[in-house]
Amino acid sequence: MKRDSDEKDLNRRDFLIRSARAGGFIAAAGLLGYRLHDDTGARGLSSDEERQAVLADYSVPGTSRKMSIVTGQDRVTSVRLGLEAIGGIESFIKRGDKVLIKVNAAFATAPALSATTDPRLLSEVVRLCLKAGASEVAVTDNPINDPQSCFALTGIGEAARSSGAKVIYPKQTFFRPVTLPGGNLIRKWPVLVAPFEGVGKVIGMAPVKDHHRSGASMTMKNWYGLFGGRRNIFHQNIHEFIMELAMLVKPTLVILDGITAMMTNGPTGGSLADLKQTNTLVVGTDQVAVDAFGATLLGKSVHDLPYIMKAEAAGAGTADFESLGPARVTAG
Amino acid sequence: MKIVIVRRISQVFFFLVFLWFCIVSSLGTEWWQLRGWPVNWFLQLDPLVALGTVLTTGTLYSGLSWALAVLVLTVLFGRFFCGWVCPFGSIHHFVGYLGRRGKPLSRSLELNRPHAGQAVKYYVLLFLLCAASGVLAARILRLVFDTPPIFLALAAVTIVAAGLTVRGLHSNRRKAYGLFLLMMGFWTAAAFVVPLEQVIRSSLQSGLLDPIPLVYRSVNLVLLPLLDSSTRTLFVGQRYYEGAWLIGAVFLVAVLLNLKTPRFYCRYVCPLGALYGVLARLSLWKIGRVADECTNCRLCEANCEGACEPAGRIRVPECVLCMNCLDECRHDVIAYRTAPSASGEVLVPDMSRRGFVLAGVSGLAAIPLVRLGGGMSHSWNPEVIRPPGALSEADFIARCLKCGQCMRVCPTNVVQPCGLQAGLEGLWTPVLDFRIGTSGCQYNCTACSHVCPTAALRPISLDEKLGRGGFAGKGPIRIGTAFVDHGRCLPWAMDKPCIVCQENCPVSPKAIFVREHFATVRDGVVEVKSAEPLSIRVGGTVLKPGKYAAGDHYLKVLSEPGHQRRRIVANGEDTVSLSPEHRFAKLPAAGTRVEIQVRLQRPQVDLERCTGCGVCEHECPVTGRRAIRVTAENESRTRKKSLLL
Amino acid sequence: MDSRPARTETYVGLVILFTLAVIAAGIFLRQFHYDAALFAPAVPETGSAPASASGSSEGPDLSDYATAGLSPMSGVEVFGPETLSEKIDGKAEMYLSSGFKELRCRRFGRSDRPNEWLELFVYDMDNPRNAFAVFSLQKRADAEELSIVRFSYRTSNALYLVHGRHYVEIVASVESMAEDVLAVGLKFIQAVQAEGANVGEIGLFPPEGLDPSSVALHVSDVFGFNELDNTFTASYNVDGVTVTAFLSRRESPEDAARMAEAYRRFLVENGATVTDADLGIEGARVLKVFDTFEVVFSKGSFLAGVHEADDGDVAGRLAVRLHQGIR
Repeated sequence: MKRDSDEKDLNRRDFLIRSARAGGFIAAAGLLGYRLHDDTGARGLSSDEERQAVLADYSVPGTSRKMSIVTGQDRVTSVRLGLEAIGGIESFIKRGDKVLIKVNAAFATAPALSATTDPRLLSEVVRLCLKAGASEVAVTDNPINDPQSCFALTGIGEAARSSGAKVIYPKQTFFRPVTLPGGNLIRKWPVLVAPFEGVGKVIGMAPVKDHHRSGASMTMKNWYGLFGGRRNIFHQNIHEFIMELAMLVKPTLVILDGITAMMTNGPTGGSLADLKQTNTLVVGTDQVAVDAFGATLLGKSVHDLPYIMKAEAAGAGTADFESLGPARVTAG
Repeated sequence: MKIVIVRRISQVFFFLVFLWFCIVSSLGTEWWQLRGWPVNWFLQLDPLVALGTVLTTGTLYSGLSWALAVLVLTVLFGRFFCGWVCPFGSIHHFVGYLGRRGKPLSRSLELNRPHAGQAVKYYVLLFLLCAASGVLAARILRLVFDTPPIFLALAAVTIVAAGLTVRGLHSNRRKAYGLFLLMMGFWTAAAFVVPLEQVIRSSLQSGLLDPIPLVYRSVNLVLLPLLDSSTRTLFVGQRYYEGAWLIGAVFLVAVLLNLKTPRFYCRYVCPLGALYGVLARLSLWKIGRVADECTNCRLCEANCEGACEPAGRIRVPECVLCMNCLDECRHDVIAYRTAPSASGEVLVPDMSRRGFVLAGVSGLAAIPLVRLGGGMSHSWNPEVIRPPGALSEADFIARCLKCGQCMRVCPTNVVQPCGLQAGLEGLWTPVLDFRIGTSGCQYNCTACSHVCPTAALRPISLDEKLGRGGFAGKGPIRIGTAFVDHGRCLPWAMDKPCIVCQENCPVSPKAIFVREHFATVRDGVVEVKSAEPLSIRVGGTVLKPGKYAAGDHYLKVLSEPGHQRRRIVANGEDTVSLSPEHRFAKLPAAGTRVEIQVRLQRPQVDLERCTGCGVCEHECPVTGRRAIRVTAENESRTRKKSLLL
Repeated sequence: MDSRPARTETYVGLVILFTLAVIAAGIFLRQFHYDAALFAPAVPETGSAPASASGSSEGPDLSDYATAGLSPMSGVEVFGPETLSEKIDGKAEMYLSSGFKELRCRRFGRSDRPNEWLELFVYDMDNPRNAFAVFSLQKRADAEELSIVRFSYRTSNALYLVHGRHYVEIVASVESMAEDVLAVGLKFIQAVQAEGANVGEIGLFPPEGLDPSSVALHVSDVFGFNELDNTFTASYNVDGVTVTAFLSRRESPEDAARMAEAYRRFLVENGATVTDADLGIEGARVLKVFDTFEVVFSKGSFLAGVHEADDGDVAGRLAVRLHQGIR
């Protein structure tokens, strides 16, 4: 008798425990189902995870109309003189600044072919930044050819490291979707933004090059190298795109290296016959003006390069570089 | 009324309902067509579908809430779904019954004895769930590493545990070592998983072995087209499905294996059954012995469907509630009740720890392994054209059950089960093949997107598909782009007039336009011997009578300036007759060289209008490798494949 | 001993069977609810091209003419001269040469019977004469003349009528909707103000042997002659032979005579020869155009005659009667 009732109690307790557990499971499943409910199938998409990024304005207040044109044969002395003529590197780079230099390392070609930023010029600029007190200088680009080969063969990688800068290679995780406010073309496009994190000053360094599609490739087009994805598509509307590039990136300084200009067969060139010694280097804070001057080195006018007028109309700078009163310096 | 009779009625009922759903899944409003029939109901009831999609997407899509009802009932009553509802299970049950008819009792008992292989289905389940959990696991790990307090806490615990183990202070040495190993495993996995975040994604592969998608696929894509090929009642034409042989073979093997062992699939393979089995420890009502007084006649196990040993320690996770034991027992010893079985019960599936770890790790690792091939990112296959409404590929693979509903409902039979073109993960997912169907993707049709149970094909309105109304700014949904093959196209390469593709392009204005081009036909330069206002006699060649009479051929007098071409209406062996409006005002002199030209309208695709519907490819008269073919460039669902800004 | 477990078993069994029945009923009821739009072919909401040249979407949406029980099954479509061919393909030619301005059309039906619908076409032909022209040029063979308005007829599944400057067609997908078709037509007539077509010339055709339903108005490019416009034709049965008479009101008697001369010259240029038959009508000529006869004359401000008659005598006699009829 007692054993029966004991057994019954045991069974009841067991049942109650199991009921509680079952009830708990049902409640948990129900709650989860309710929280995760999706009527339209539009939630839970992988594209939701990508947070958009925004690029800041890196120009130094009060320096917006500075430009210097240096005539000379040696890049190192020319850039030094050029920077001095617009107030010295100290007016731009302050102690403790993190500096990012966007070079042109698009192709895996030798420096002599002038399709990429000259490594000696880069070394000098890095050195000057560090001398001005920068805490860190980084060099980056998203090349068209394979990044490792590009940074190596152009000499840029070695130049950066030996002068104390670090090279940031374009890793896939470094790209974030970016939208240009008011832009038509740059909408949620993957851009290499990770190198910009924590950066206070941005310098763009580009050689003067002819370009089959856009007419010329100089400081404004240099920012194309920050874009990822299937960026070739922007060639379909190249001038409007370069205009939007100039609106998107507001650098501290741009340096246009016209010591050796690629006159034909740009942007890859490939033969020394494509080059001409134009012996001019420009430093400035207005990339539109700098490019407008650069056009003259290629024997073109601003009207041959529609993107310059578009950029001016969009307020990214002025095409009338003479109105800035550029300092003209001759290196010895 | 005996409960087994009710069970059989239930099985027949759900099987017939399932079969009816398969039959009516044709687009249309008649009572025997789609209308509002809830044809996806079995897929929505399937908790493995719900769980899988929750893991891969973090959401529970609309109709899948039905699975909660099934889960509740399973937690209350046990694996009723397997024994009473599952149509695939009913097939196995029936064939198994046929297989053991006439066999002696001893043979039956042998066949129904618990087998170690019953653990395999739990490994299968674990593998599939881990393959679906990649992103979730990565997210949790990332959360740990991104949140300093949690990170520090875990690090502290590891250090303390390590310290204790080393110092030997913990009383239970084994537990300490176990904990230590777990921590090490965690940190190793973290180091392994976190940097791989790019390669880790979630992949829903449960559809391969989940019985509900499997049976939908097999019936809709294999059995119905086979049965209908003679009766021609369901489909107007013969339905074809590429690779149906494999789907059919899997189905056939699964069904025929029941002749070897009853409910082979249910016992050894089925991941859904495994999921129910895992919940067994919670079930309130179970089969069991009421008292220890049993004669051990073992009659109860003669027809035990689940091989769960009701006569001994009943394995509750294996019991499919067939109630045969209850029915067979002559002594009323077996009952279905809330109290545990008097002869003991096993509530936990019989898995080995090694097997558990192996299945789990390989599931987690399988997807990154497969993704290394780059098929999902860089070397994507342009031949893979997904139906309109498909999500981008990674999201699509995270949801597609390979149930074949979209293939079944497509009115033109262009949605086909994929082979390995889209990678291993893409097996039996829907891709479009415009050669095999009866037309291209119909302009006005959105059927596939509305029949998908998991929104891998997102339900789209016609406005969205065509880029009208509220979607006019966005433009139509493109599933690909047509490319004209200039080496095969008749007017481009063969001097033969043809504008079939342009005529059939359903978009307005058309996405294919033509440019007129005149080409001198082969041996088409002839000399005039004599001329009249409406005809000339030529010398030097023998023309094939009537060859130039179709209205596409023109006569060009070489010496005449400009584009003066005269339409030819007829020709004989040495005469060419012109159309009255092109009569000669001034007769050409004898000896004048003239050319017979063919007017070709050469098709060109307008990138901004082409939606990739494939009607052009389907209609192209070059029927082998078509002269205009659609590939996946510019499809709307993937930004990086776009051809236009 | 047996009965108690059996009873519980039976109860449970019955409950389960009842649940199955409820499920079956649920499925059966569920299949009535579906979005009909998913199964019907798409109809463009407005004229295909968004450019204004195709006709603005402002204006009546035709829903006023839906009768009780009918509701619009799609949006109103609007087509202008540039886009008309997208709706009616080759037939657009005839409308365009008859002064077509705008077409508005819309489908109506009952939501529970998606295969039965009717489509209302309202062609704005700019004036009643043009509307009559396109009405008369495409009379269907199985036409049943109606008198709901002056110019109307119906076939087994459609209604065609002229009301003011509108040429209206109402075409149903099934013959069983004939009642609805008529109702919609009547509603249109009542709702829209219209002046009668000024087609007084019709009365000038001599009634004997005339097939009244054959009277047609050709607005332009009559008989292939691009100078001739605004011409009525009518079919006659004379002595078992079918002959076509034509007449056209011109600006003035001089203009009529000039047009007659021009038309005769046009015929001659295209291979006709003037016969020397004399019908006793001043200024009339009988021409033989290959194997048919053409009679052309002018009387007062009217140009008239007989067109492409097989039999020269019959043509002549009809011409005389026609001449007498014109005042």
